[in-house]
This record gives sequence, structure tokens and C-alpha cells, in this order.
Amino acid sequence: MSDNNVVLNEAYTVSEGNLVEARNIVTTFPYDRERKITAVDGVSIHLKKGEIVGLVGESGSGKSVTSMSILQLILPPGKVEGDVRIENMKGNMLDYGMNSDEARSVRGGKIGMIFQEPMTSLNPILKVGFQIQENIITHLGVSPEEAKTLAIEMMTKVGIANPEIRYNQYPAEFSGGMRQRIMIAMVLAAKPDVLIADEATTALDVTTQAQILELIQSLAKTEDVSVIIVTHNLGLVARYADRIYVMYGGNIVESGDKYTIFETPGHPYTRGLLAAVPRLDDPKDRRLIPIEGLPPTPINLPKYCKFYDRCKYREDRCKDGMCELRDEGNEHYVRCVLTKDEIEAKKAAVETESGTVPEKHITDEVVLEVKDLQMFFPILKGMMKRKIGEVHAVEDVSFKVHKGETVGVVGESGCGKTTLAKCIMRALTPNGGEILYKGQNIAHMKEKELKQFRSKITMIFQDPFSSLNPRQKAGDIVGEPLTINHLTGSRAEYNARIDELFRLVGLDPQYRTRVPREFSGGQRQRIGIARALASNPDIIVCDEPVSALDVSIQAQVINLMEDLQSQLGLSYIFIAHDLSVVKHISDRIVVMYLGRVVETAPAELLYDNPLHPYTKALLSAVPITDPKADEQRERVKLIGEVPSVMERPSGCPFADRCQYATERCHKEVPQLKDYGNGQQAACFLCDEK
Amino acid sequence: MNTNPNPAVKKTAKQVLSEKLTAFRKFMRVMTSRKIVVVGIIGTLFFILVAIFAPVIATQDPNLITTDGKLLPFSSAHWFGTDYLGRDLYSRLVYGTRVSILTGVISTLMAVVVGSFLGMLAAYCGGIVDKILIGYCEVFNSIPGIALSLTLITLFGGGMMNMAFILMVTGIPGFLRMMRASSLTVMNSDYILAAKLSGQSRLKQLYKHVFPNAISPIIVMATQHVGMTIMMESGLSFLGVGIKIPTASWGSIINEARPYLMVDPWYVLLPCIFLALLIISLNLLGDGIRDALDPSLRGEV
Amino acid sequence: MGKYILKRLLQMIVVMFLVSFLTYVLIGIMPRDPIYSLYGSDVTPAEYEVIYHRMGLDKPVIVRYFNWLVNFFKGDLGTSYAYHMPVMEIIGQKIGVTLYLSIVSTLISFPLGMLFGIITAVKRGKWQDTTLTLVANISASIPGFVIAIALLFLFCINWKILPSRGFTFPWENFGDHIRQIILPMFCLSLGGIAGITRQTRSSMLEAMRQDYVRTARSKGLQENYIISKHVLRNGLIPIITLIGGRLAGMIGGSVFIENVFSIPGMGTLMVNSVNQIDVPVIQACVLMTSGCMCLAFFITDMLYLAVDPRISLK
Repeated sequence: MSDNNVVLNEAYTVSEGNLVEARNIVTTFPYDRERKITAVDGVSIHLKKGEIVGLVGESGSGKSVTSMSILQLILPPGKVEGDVRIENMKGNMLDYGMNSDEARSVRGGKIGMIFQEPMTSLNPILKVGFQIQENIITHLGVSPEEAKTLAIEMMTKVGIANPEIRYNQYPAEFSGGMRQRIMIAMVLAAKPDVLIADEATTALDVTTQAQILELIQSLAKTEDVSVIIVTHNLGLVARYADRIYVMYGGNIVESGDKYTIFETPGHPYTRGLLAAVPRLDDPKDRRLIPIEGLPPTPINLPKYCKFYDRCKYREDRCKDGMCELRDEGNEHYVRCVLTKDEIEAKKAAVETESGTVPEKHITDEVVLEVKDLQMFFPILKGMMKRKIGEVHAVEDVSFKVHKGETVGVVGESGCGKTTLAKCIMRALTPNGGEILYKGQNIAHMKEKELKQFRSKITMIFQDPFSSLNPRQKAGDIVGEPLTINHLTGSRAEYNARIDELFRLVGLDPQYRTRVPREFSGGQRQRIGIARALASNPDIIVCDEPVSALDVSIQAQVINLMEDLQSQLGLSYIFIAHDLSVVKHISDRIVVMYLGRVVETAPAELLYDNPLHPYTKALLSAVPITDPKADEQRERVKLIGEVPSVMERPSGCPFADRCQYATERCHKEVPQLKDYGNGQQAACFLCDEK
Repeated sequence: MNTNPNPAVKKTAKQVLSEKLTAFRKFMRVMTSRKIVVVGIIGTLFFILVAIFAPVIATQDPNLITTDGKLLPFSSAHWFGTDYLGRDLYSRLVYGTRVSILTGVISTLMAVVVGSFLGMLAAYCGGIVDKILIGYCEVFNSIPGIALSLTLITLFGGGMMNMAFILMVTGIPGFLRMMRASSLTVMNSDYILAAKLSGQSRLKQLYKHVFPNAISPIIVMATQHVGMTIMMESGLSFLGVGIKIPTASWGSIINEARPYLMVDPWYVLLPCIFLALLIISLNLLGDGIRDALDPSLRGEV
Repeated sequence: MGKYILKRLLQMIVVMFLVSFLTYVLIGIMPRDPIYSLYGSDVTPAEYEVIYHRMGLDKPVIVRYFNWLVNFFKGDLGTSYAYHMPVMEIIGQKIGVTLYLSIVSTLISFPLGMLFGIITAVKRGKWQDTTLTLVANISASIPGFVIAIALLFLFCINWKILPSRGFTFPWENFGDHIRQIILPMFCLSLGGIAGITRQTRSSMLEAMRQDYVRTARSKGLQENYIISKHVLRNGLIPIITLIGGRLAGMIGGSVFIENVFSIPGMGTLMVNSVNQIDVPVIQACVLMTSGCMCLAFFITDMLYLAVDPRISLK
């Protein structure tokens, strides 16, 4: 929001020191004949030389559309209005039109962009070298030979081994992380001034994500590029950005230096977000404070603050009209009717005592024990489907779950955590080992014997969309386990139970005749939880239950799960890739890598004193939403990416990426060893320390 | 086992009905949002009404050989003239509508039922059953439709019911493949896993979850299939091997009329025009239903 | 890759075996007696018995099938009931005509259909798109024989500028060939062109929606360049898979067109054989056309392999 007073004439480009200035961007898409969707509603941002700026917001906040609007990548019938000025370019870029020479020289030439989906963002039928080369030729006007040299040079810089060979390969021959490196090389090869990373690492594993962002950070310095990181992940901007814009409902609600934003957030939404996100360094009993309600639909947006409906600080005067961003000094801007002092004064009254999580009742009773569990999948090849080998998806996994306890299982893609869940649920029959439910081995039971246990161990799924039958009514979905297992006698009893379950998960029982389509993502997940609770289970296996939800909704579901646990004495097996969430909700954590458990420990201890090098790397790859605290932490960097399960090394699965690996690590598989206080790790090096 | 409405739901039974109505209205709104689809709906409705009320609309028995004369031009007694035997062409065309639509609809319906059943069977059983059924599709796919129909006609002979049967046989592989693919997609979804983990039997999963969710692409395919079947039926009748004389079918009328193209062109052209109009209407309707049921199939957004 | 080709070849052979077996068995339940059909109804019971054994009709169906198959590989497809001539000879004369018609019309309709499809996709929503799409929709909806009759009426009867029947190969008399072929070829290709136009359009629009097109735009490439380099190939690859099916459609369609324009091809032969219940000929026709289709599908797969690098990687 540098200077809104400058004269925006034909000749004006940008203020001294700025690369991009966008003012009052309004992007709309027609919805039907009368109404339109306002994705971006008057956003102004600027980018200074050498800066890394973060643009954060939940899904639907308009952050991606903003960056695409600046680049004029919005296709008709979408419409962009406003004013975009670029360094050394005369006039408003939007006036030139999206296919003008000027706009095209900016796109790719001055501002490069990386997108979210590394799998689909590269053209599958063109060699990656060609795709890098065409960008260079377009913007630097060099000969194809020179372009090739530059491309290979750039591929080396982004960390691609054997670039001459890789140059002639197709995108399908690269892993997700590698494709994102190719994208970076492609964008930077044309020597742009600005790099926009639009959720560029969202689809990647945590450790790969950290690698890519660190690469971007270091290239920004060496290649003299400014960066805009567009993301929903508050931790990422806390760690990697210098300055932050927070978006909500198509508006910037707050902007400023990252320390200011995270330490003294001004807008109620920013405050709410920070209170809703779990942090790795949370005290054990921290209770998340969710933001109630749902984000606004972008059709017929209100003319006043979009956050009004969900705001705890709201007053009648908020509805008088859209307020401007108020200068709080030190480049901190807040779009709120209430001043900083007014908010502070009101804080005590509106902020419900965050409190602590409801008390857990963990007993010594072991409800579930997994012993040396093994799950292999055959690798078939050829016409006759010959078995040529086995994928060891889960190997020698053992852990116990006590009554009332939450055991978190964490790991990156391919670590076997979902296979483990499916084995425990007996959607798969394990090849070896035992699964003891209250002492009874259910690992190899036939479906008939198993039926009585089905109602005792239930599951909550990741995707709130595909886990509910779109044609079934919510009441029937929740009631299905009851009817299948004949758990309720009369119809009245059945109805009463459904109503009870709906209330238990915070849904109005009147909604039972609705179909899933009519619920929001968070509500659907509640239906899924109600279904899991229906048969009065002892254990609920939760497979990534909140990863498809926005942070503000995520907190609601996590709190609900904590309440239910305390109320009903449930045990959870909580599987997720997001370490912060797992650590927040779990009592004990099992860390998996390529099918094996590498470490298991009480949640607090795991964070304070991780033993296994992989646990250390995983922890340090996850940023904390507090830049100062985050900077204090030890950072362990990893080499390479998570290999495919098919190519697991013979010794310690982690040996190839471990910087401490010895010869022994490559030959022998380390077994889990007890290190006191309930902590176990599978690493030879822990002994030597 | 009480999945049925209860007091709390009964209260909203009216609401449910009105919700269904709204859904239907929305469906119709999408259907009618393109004017050309409306043309298709009107055209199809017109021909269906003609088929239903053929005895009322027709002026004479279609097979009655009148003594008024052969190959007469348009007149008030014979609106479209008479054919080569002196039968009333207008009445024959009206009754021909019946034959065409009936053959098309019946054979499509049968193909849908059999094809969907086998498709679900393939998806459900997997293994050897799946392989056999897929092999069956593969084999039938490798014989040109017309060659297959001609072979079957040689075997069973022509006539309307035989035609419907033969056209059903040629239609089955398409529906089988579609249903198999769409069932497999549904079977891989989490709500099937959830049902399985609740202990629901596979058969019950099949009719409670898989079938209702897998059927909608079949419906879209079926609406487009009717037109194709009618085209095929009239084609075979035109070749003189389909609907047998004296039953009036547009195809067979065109076949009878061909020798008189030079003498009485309208005799040939009228059934041709009717046939074209019906199929165009059906295809437009099919496009409309496709767009309304599944916008993602439209090929544009 | 070699493995893949081998696999497809094997699959093709298996399917052909199944098709041949199927046709053989179907014919086996045919009510018509082959001996009376071949030798006339005045065969005495004694003679009948001799022929019955000589033809191997007393053996189980599977043995008869293998005998038939062996004969097939020797080039003997039996004797036509209607013409009392070797089936091979009859088909040999006709199949060339039908294949010529089908292949040429496929070769005409693909480039044209793709061209129109590209135009409609690139000019989406403009008048070019609206007009071409409308024409394509209508042409695809009208049966080929109806169009053929209408054109026959106009050009051959009303205006009398083209011959209404006959077929000459181009190498025999090029002028006659053109005059005779122009209407049948047009009718045969029209439906194909219309279908391919529609499929190309939706495939192109699909390709234009892909993420990599957005990436290409974000690189500041020219719109025309994006279409030609990034969209076109991705959009046309799925169309190539349609060649096999289209060729089959053309063989089917030529049955009608041959009938209207009195062209002595396999279509006419098949219809006559059906009317005369000439079993061996029908059998051979089905087998021949299926063989052509299998070959077409195989060629399609090979084409696909050549244009899409993703497949050879697998």
C-alpha cells in the first residue's frame, strides 16, 4: 500500500524500489445471468526489490486469483479490473490486454509463475528441455543452442543431476519434487525479476517442501529475484517470507512485516487464525480456538467487512461500509473498523478463555496391540501377471493403544501409514504379525468371525466428499452401522440414537434428511464422525481426518474429537502427514518411514528430544507459526527425496538420505530399542551418543 | 431394520417432496437453457405422441389396399398420397413412427438392463468372470455392427421383435463396458470402504451404494443410444432384411419406394424427412439430458 | 516397447480366433441344411449319407471348426450355396471395392474432421464455431442412406449430371471413377467428418483447459504458438484412437451406400447372402470385415505409440 496518492498517468511505472504495484484489483466471473462471483474484491499489493512476500489465506480467499490477475492469466469470461504497474513498463498493464506484446513480455519475462500441481503443470508430450528452452528463447531472444546451454546451467542450479540427459526426458520421468524443480528452472531461466510460487509445494511431502522452498529462498538471493509465496500454510510464510499479506473473502485484511503479523496481529481474522492453528511447540494441554461459521460465498458478497459474520469483535458500525486499510505504523496495515486499542479493550470480554483440552482418562488397559505387523503387495509383471517381487508396504510394525489414548502415526507418502490403517481395519489381511483387540487376534479372522469386531473398531476418512454416499441421506449414512449390525431394537430407539449422534457431533438433528451435497466440508466430516461413533466403538482409526479442511474448520473438528474422546473414553489412532496436528492431538507418536517404525515416543518427548535422524529432519521441516521461535530451532537438512517403496535400501530404510549413515546402516536393519521414558528408536547411532 | 421415515422425518415429508420438485425444476431449467434442446424436446414429444395415438391420428388401416389408385399425389383423401400398392402413405408413416420408436426404446431398455447387470457382475466378481465378460465385449467390438446384425438376422429372421432383440445384442457390450467402468470407480470410493468396514455384505453394498451412483452415465448413454438404434433399425429395414413387409416401418417404406424415386419422389423423401427429424430431435434431447445430468461430460465449461 | 507390440499382436490373434469360432458356431445352429443347399434338393438319401461323411458333418463341432480353420489357412472358405462357386473367389472380387471405399473415405474424413474440429475449438463461440457445429450435428444425425437417396434424387434423377450406379477403379478409367465415386464417397465421409469434427472439438477444448496450457501462457508465449505447440498434439492424440472404430463404421456404412448406388462390393454381397441364406458367404464376410477391424485397431495402437511418449515409457 505504498502511496495511494501518486498520479497514475500513462508515464508512471512504479515507485522507486518497487518491482510490482497492483492497485484495487477486482476480478469477477459470471455465475448466472444476473449474479457474478467476485473472487478478488479490490486488492492492492506491491513488491519491493529483493523481497519475499507471502500471500496467505484459506481456500476461496482469492489469493491465487490475485496473482493470476496481475499476470493477466484470467481467461474470459472472467474479468480483471484495476491497475497493475510493473517496473520499466509504461502505464497500466491491464490496459494492454492479455495477449499484447507488453503483457506477454511481462509474463515469463519479468514475472515467472510456478503452480500447485507439479504433475499436470508440465506438458506431458514435450521434453522438459524444450519447455525450458522455449521460455528462454521467447524472452531473451537467444539462439536455440545458447538457450540449451542456459537451460542446462539452470537445471544444474536447481539441483538436477545429469542435466544433459535429463534435458531430453519427458515430465513423466520425473518425481513430483523434481518436476517442481524443473518448473523453477524453467521460470528462472528467462531471468525474471519476480517469481510467484502459487501453492507450489502444497502437493509435496514435508521434507521435499522444505527443500524446494529453501531452494527458492537461496535462488532468490543468487539470481536476484523477488518472490511472492502464495499459500494457505501460515507456517511457511512465517519461515520463508519477509512481509505478509493476509487475505479473506477477496480482500487484504492485514499486511505487514512477518514479525509484526505473528506477534501482534491486528485483524480479528488473523488473530483467530493464529489461535486456530496447532503448533509444534504447543503445551500439551493447549485448546485450539476455532473460528466459528463458514467463509462467505463469493456470490453477492456483502459491501462491508467479509469477516463480520464470524467476527467476535463485531459491532453495528462494522456494517456501515467497507473500511480502508488503516496504517498502524511501521508498514503494518489493518482493515478493521475497530482500532488496536478498542480490540485490546474488548479482548477480555469476547475471547472465550482458551482453556485447556478436556481431561483425558487414559487407563492401563490395552485395547489394541499391533505386533510385528507385515503387509506385502505382490509386484506383477507381463501378460501372465507373473509375480516378480513384493512391495513391503508395512514391515514389523508394533505398538500398543491404551484405553482413552490417542496414538499418532506420522510419515510421508509411501511410509505405509494408510496401509497400516487398512490392516487394522481389516480392509486388508496382513501377511504376518498380530492385531490384538483386547487380547484377541483379529489379524487373520474370516469375515464372519470378524463381524462382531467391526462395530468396535471404526474409521474416519480423509475425504469428506468421497467418504459419504452422495445419494444417501445424512441420517441413513449415520444409521447404517446400526442397521447392519442390528444394534437398535425399535424404530423409536433407532431414531433417538441418530438424533443423539447428530447432537453429539454438533449437527442439528433436523438435517438428517439432507444429502451430503447440502453440507459444507466441515459438516460432512462431522457426519463421518457420527457414523464412526454410531456403533459405540472402543477405537476409531482416523486417516488424515482434517487434512482436507481449512485451518479454521480444522480446529473445530479437532476440538470435537478431543471432546468426544474425553466424554466417551475413546482411543484414537490418528494418522496424518501434518506433524503439528498429530503432535497436538496425540499422546504418543509413531514415526514411520518406508514401511518401518523408526521412532516412537510420547508426543512431548518426541518434540523435545527426537532421537532418530529422520524424526529430526521431519520436525525441522515443519515450521512454527512464530518466526522468532522458528529461527531458534535446529534445522536438519535432508538429501534426496522419499524413494519409492519399491526401491527400499537393504539396510536401514533411511540410510541413503541420512548424513550420519555408516557402512553398518547400509547392511543391517536397526531394530527398535528402548531409550527410557517410553521412547524407542531404530537407529544404530543412538547407542553411540 | 428401521431405515424408514420416522416422526421427525415425516414432518418434513412435504419438504422432501418439494425438494424433489425443486431438483426437477432445476434439471428442467438446465435442460431448457439452450433453445436448441427445447426444439429437441418438442420434436421428440411430437413423435412419441404420434406413436402413442397412431390409431387416432391415422386416417386408415396402414395395410389396407385401397382401390383409389397407386402412387397417387397429395389429396384430401390421402394426405400424402398412396404407395405402390395403393395404401394410404400418411397412415403408413404414422404407424411407422410406432414401429421405429418402439424398436428403439425396447431394444435400448433391454440392452441397458442386461448390459448394466453384466457390467456390475464383471465389476463385482472380478477375476475370471470379469475376464470372460471383457473378452466377450472385445470379440463383439471386433465385428462391425452391421455385419453382426446381418448374421443375427440370418439366424433369427427379421420382424419387429427379432429386430429389437438383435439390436439389443449389438448394444449390450457398450453398456456393459460403461457400467463396469463406472461401478469400479464407485467401488473404489471411501463410502464403499466405510460400508464394508461396518460389516455390510457385498451384495447389499452393490444395490445400496454402487448401483445408484453408477447408473447416471448409463442413463446419458441410453438416451443417445435410442437414436442410434432407430437409425440402425431403419437402415436394416431399408436393406430389406429388417422389419418385414407388410408392417410399416420408415426404413421399409423407403425401401419399397426406391424404384419409384423418378415417378413419385415424395413417396421416398417423406419417410426420409421423418426419420431425419426424429433422430435429430432425439440427439438434441440426449445432449440436453447429458448436460443437465453431468455438465462435465459436455466437453466445454 | 517391442513387448507391447508383441502383446497387442497376440491379443489380436486371440480375438480373431474367438470371432471365427463364434461365427462358426452361430452358423452351426443355422436351420438350413448345407447339403441340400449345395447339391440341390434332389439328392438321394444314399448320396446324402456319402456327402455327409465326406464333409465331416458327423464329427463334433470343435473338430469341424478345426477342419474349417485348416481349410481357411489353405485359402479355402467353402462353397457358396447361392452361386456354387468358391467363397474366396466371390469375396475376392468384392472386398477390394469395399475396402477402397472405406479406406479412402476414412482418409478423407480424418484430416477434414480434425481441421473443422480445430477451427470450431479455436473460434469457440464465434460464428465459425456455431455454423460448423450445427452442420456437424445435423449431418451426424441423418442416416447415410437417407442422404444418399436425397443426393441420388437431386444429382442423378433431377439434374442428371452424375451416373446413379456402378463402380470403376481409378486405374481402370479415372474419369468414370470420379463421376461414379463422388456421391458415394461424399455420403460415406459426411457422417465421419461430422463425428470427427465434434470429437476433435471437445478433445481440443479439453486440452486447452489443462494446467500446462496455463503454464505456457504464464511463460508469455504467443496464443497461436500455444495452440500449435502445446494444445494441438495433446488434443489430437485421443482422436487417433478413433481411426480403428471409424474404419469399422465406414465398412458398415458402405453396406448402405453400396446398396443405394448399386456398387458391387461386400455390402451388396452380404445383403444378398442374407436374403438367400448363403451361410458360407456370410461367414466369410464377417470374418473378413472383423479381420480388417482388428488390423485397424492394431494400427491405431501403433500410431498411438508413435505420437504419445507416455505410453512407451510404461
